[in-house]
Amino acid sequence: MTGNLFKEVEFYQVRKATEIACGDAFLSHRDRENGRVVSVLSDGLGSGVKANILASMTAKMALKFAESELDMIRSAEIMMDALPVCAVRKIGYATFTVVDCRDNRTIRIVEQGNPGYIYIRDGQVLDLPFSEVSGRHGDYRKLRITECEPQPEDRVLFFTDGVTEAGMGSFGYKLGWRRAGVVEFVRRVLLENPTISARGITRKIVNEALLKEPGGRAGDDTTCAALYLRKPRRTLVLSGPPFAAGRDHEFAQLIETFDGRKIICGGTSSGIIARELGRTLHTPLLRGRSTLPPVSQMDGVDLVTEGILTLTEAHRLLESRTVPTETNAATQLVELLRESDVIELVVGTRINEAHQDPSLPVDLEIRRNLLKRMKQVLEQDYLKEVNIRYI
Amino acid sequence: MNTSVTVEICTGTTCFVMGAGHLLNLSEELPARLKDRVDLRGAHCLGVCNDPQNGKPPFARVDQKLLSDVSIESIIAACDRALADREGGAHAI
Repeated sequence: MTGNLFKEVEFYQVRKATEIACGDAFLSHRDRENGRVVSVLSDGLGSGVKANILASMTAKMALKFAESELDMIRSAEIMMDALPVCAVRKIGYATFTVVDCRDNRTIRIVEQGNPGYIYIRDGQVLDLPFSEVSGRHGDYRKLRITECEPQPEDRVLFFTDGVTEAGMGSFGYKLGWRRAGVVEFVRRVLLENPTISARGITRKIVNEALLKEPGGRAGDDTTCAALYLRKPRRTLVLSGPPFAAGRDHEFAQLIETFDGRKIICGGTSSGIIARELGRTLHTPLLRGRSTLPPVSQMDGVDLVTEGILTLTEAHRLLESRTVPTETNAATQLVELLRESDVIELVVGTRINEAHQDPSLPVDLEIRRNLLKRMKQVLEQDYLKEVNIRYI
Repeated sequence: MNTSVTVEICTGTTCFVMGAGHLLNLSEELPARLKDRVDLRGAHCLGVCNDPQNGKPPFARVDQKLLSDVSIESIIAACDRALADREGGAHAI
């Protein structure tokens, strides 16, 4: 029974070191109505901008076809028509892997040209039966189709050849890292950390691939994606004092009763919670200059930050997918949110009048609007399940 | 006699945008006479900015006394006063 499983989908990529655009494309879509998640990874021929366009087109087409109820084989044929074999090199313009997880009962994997996926159950790699279908063109391209019934904690890892060919030609890896090398590495990672997130494992794989490359510089676009079916990791974010002061206690009790990670974003709100629950708040002094107020500590709460400035910065990091160079309150918040599957935002709507003072040197956003946008980016760009309520 | 004075800088949103971030580097700006005599701490939001009667942000507390619209200079002056008061008190005994 996989009814309440969360399907975590993540990818991590590093582009070929000499290029300005990545020639691998990853797209994913979660249907909120039926819980179906379709992910596509495509590797465009060559590298740079041309490859990026080919891969993006292929990924988008594959995603649209997979979402439509059109037969996958027929869809794949249409795609192969649209992206013909290169006249010079006699190879396909773009490869793809589609991982389609429906209603928790089936996973269907359709592959054309990418290295074979890795299916993991109980820390072991499963070799699943598959069927092969040739396109009508009679060229070398074949679709490999696998269907299986997933179980809780199953993972599917899929990647472009940048991963399997990492280090190719070097002394230690004459033929590259190869799929067998990736399998070996994944086994080790899972032994150390059996519940590693999809996000965590994709990073580890890509970084390990880079280690094989001369000077750690990617010789090809290197992308790894993962689907992980797991019990949802739930996170509660409390931000802002309740509109009616009479509800302070109810607000604070949410911290006591919630089963999952807990975050408070807001000076006044954390003050209220500390008072209502009789806990102490520690604010260590920050060394060096920071663009954000420091993180505080409270027993039983995973992260306590200032409100608007930290949330604004966290939203910016999430939206731009910026890889932060320093650690601050916003990067810690982003980290926790990205490691969550289900996020409950509880927004207190009392306005701090001091924030509306026109003489402040920066615009302070209205919390309610900011958190609405946060919900949007977490849902659309990170496929999280986000619930928001106001108090 | 306690020879060090406690300075708490509010790190709430309003204070931070009004310059509290800069004030957290106070220890680097302290004159020699105050070095080792000031116990500097970041404070969680003091919750005073929303009442205009408390004055303007940024806020700090020097030996528990609330100060508004603080700067490095005004905190240093307040530390000097606090220490002078104590020493004055000690002499009187």
